[in-house]
Amino acid sequence: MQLRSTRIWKGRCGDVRRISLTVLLAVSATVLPRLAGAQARVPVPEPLVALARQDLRFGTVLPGIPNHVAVYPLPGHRGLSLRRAGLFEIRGPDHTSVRLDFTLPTEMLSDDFSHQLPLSFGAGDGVVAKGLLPIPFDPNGPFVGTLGVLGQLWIVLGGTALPTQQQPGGIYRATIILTVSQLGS
Amino acid sequence: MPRLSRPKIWVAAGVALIAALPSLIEAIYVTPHAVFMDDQTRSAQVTIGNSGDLPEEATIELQFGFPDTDSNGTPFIRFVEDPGSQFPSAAGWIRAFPRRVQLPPGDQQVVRLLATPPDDLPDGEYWTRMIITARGAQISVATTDTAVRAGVALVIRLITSITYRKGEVTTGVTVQELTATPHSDSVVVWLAAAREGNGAYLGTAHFELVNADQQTVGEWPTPLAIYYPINRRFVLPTGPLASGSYVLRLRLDSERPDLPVGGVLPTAPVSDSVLIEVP
Repeated sequence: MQLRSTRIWKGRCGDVRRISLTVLLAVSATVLPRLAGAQARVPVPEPLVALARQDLRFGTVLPGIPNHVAVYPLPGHRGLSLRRAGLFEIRGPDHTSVRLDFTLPTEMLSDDFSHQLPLSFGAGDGVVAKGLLPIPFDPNGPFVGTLGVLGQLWIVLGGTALPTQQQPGGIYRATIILTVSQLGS
Repeated sequence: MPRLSRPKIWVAAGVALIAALPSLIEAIYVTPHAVFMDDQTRSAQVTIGNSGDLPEEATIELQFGFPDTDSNGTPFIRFVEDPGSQFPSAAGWIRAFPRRVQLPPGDQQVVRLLATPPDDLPDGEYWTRMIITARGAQISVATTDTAVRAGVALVIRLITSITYRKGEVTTGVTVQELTATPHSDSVVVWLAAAREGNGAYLGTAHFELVNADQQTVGEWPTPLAIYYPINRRFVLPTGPLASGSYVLRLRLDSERPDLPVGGVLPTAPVSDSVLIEVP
């Protein structure tokens, strides 16, 4: 198995990790199941597993400036950007038929519920990977497919925070619901 | 200094990359993902676990539902809140214990399912869905007085099936219509099918595309569950196809290695095919 295009470096603004899809899938096919399996103490028969490996992180948002978390580092780039995007993994028996639905919030709320921060999820903000090619999908709609031959499916989720010019400071939160429906029985 | 062999270098690179990946912030699993019960045992159990690094709280809910297709041919789970006597629902008389579990990191818990069907329940198959909702710890967001900081929390829902059988249960499948249309890098298939007997059809749809030289261009096995008549759309990723005639073959059988032994009712294979012309 070949591992290619691994580039890990530090940028001016802190740690920047860009991991190509090839590497992601190659690693997932070899090392991840063993490590995560040991970590998870997964029993037999093979379970259906939903993992959130990274939450969607907007970080510090500047008033009036949209904050877009992209799933690709650059337009047309084939490697996925995992720096701030949400990263999810579904695992189960090979070829399990699943439907994935995201319930996406339209806004975040401040801790005292007095202020809103609008959110937007576009048609290009979702990517599913189960083979060597990423499959774009609109996270506002469902994704229906089967787990790959390794029984794995990766989902990368981006989005945009849309603060107003007068956005009050503070902590804003929202909840994303990922529903995994087993369709094969 | 000893030199690492090439495989060792790849493993080392993989481990280094894993270290760079974020740790699990939420993880929930359920096994088995399809439960089959009958009137002899009337009980079953599932295991729900947390393979993440943070505590989880999970709730277990049973609701009547079954796989269906929408007008676009996309499958979904159709939930019926009050199924009445129109549907063979087991949601009203199968109970889960406990219905709420606390799962520390790495922990798992057995949830017992107990069926108490009505005494006069007719022979047949009865269904419900199990919905497991997991809520992890809130994502911590650092704060200052003036900065705007934003973070999301995640809720994961897993929807699996429970089937209860009483007496003789049979099933089968019939193909009502099969059409296929070539596109630039795929073939779009519409399959209208219905099940026979008094049980749901659980099987596999094997699609095979064959060219004019009888060579197989591609094969796509897909698990299939038919509770009520479906009209489902499949997109088969063929890549660019050369001009010519092709035949799309379909075989429906009861092979389901992903389901527990004894859960799948045997059926006679059903085949169909359709001609495709690629301009």
